Amino acid sequence: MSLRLLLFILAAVMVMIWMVKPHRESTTQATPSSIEVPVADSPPRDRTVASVRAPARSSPPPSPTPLAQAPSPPIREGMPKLDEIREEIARDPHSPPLSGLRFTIMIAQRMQKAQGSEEESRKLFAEVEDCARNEDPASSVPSLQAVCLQTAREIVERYPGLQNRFDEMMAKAEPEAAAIAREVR
Amino acid sequence: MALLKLATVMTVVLFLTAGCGFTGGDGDRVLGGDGSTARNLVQRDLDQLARSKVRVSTTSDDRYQSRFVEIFGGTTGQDVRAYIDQRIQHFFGEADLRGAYVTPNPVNTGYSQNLFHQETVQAVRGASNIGMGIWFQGLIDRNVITLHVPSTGQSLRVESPRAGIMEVGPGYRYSTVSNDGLEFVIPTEYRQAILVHEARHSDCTGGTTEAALEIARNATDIRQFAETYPRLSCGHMHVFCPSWHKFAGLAACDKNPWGAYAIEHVYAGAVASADGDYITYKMMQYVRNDTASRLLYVNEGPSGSFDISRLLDLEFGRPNMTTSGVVAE
Repeated sequence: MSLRLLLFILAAVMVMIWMVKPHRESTTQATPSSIEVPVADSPPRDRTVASVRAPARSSPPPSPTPLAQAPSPPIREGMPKLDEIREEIARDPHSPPLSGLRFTIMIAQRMQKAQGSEEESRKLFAEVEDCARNEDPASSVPSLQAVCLQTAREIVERYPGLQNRFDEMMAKAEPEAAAIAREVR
Repeated sequence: MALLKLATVMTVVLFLTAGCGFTGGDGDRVLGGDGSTARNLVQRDLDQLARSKVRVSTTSDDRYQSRFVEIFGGTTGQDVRAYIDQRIQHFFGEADLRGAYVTPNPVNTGYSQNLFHQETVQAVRGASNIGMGIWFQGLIDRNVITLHVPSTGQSLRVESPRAGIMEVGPGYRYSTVSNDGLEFVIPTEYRQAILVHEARHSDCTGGTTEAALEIARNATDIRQFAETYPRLSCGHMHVFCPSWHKFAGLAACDKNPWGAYAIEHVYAGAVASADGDYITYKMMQYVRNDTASRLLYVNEGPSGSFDISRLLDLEFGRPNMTTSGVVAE
């Protein structure tokens, strides 16, 4: 009897190992060995690494757990203002501004979270619709508004019912942002 | 002042964007050494290219793929690595350059004078090609300038636009904190795009002339230089963005086709969907948006058109990836 119990436990452990293994591989991919190479002003090492190797564009899988549990700030609030971008460019004209990169990461993560859920995708669409709106041209950054438009277009590809709203977005967007979004796919 | 602090010369590259004929030092790539994290990160990014971890995505726009091949000579990371190797041989972290200086002391022209004024601006740069800036200052001075880096014991005589000396600042980073407070590791492609950009500054495409250099010598300030100097493709120097541009007044636009922003744009466009990595794709999409918006020859402002296809469809010709020096008129 105890031998059967032992075998049962052994089998259960093996099944558990088998189930966990793919996840471990994925985690390895998400945390490259080069994690030992932070730059001088990197944030503290004990922060959660949200994601490194993101899923395929065509079918983003669910986000990793830490990301899924993280609160999602409204996209519009996370959009850097022109002054901030200009300040970064003044310091470093040769690199795309990091604040713009962070904003793009936020949108990409939201896209991943919305993957597979029409309701979440529609919510996200409304948010990128909001950030693409040209309400304050003096402080808007076309290259970032274009990210919102491009993201909206990706959502429309999955949910064609949003096409009219997307067309309207493009028409109302800052011309340069709309032009970039049209040109850069 | 017998010696000019390097900080002064480095500001040149805030304006210049410029190619391999380094003649000083031991000829080895300056990486590692003091364990600078920035240099280690560059080495890692270069190694990834050499292992062809990055390559042209077959699902990217055909035009990006074609231009990529014309620029880098192939479709793999190894080709991109060769392009960078040809143009940048020496990478220095910020710490390496503390105490660095140049000799002889550059002539204090209107061009360089303006740069002195920028000395107090401590830029947090991702990277900058200081070799091109030093070489160009040497042309203005009718002299060859040597960069001395006491921390590494090197003296680099800058005789060519492709001297290939690059500063890697703290902006060249491994990770960033996203808006929701989580650290996000930046995909290597993003930083490689920066290296690709900086390497382009090492190309003196079409060369410069004595007459053009005379204009540079007579420029009263950096703005006048930018407006009057006729050979901006030598070093692929950036110009000040025009008044209608969101980056108006910043030296962050390109007036001539196939400059550093355009090369970076093509790189980002060709590798954007490589490996099917969605977040990398979005980041590189942003890089494409950002770089495209700085190309004045395809972005004519509010009353004109914005058409990146004009570049990709070769309306301005194929990218000329050669380099030269002072040429006859």
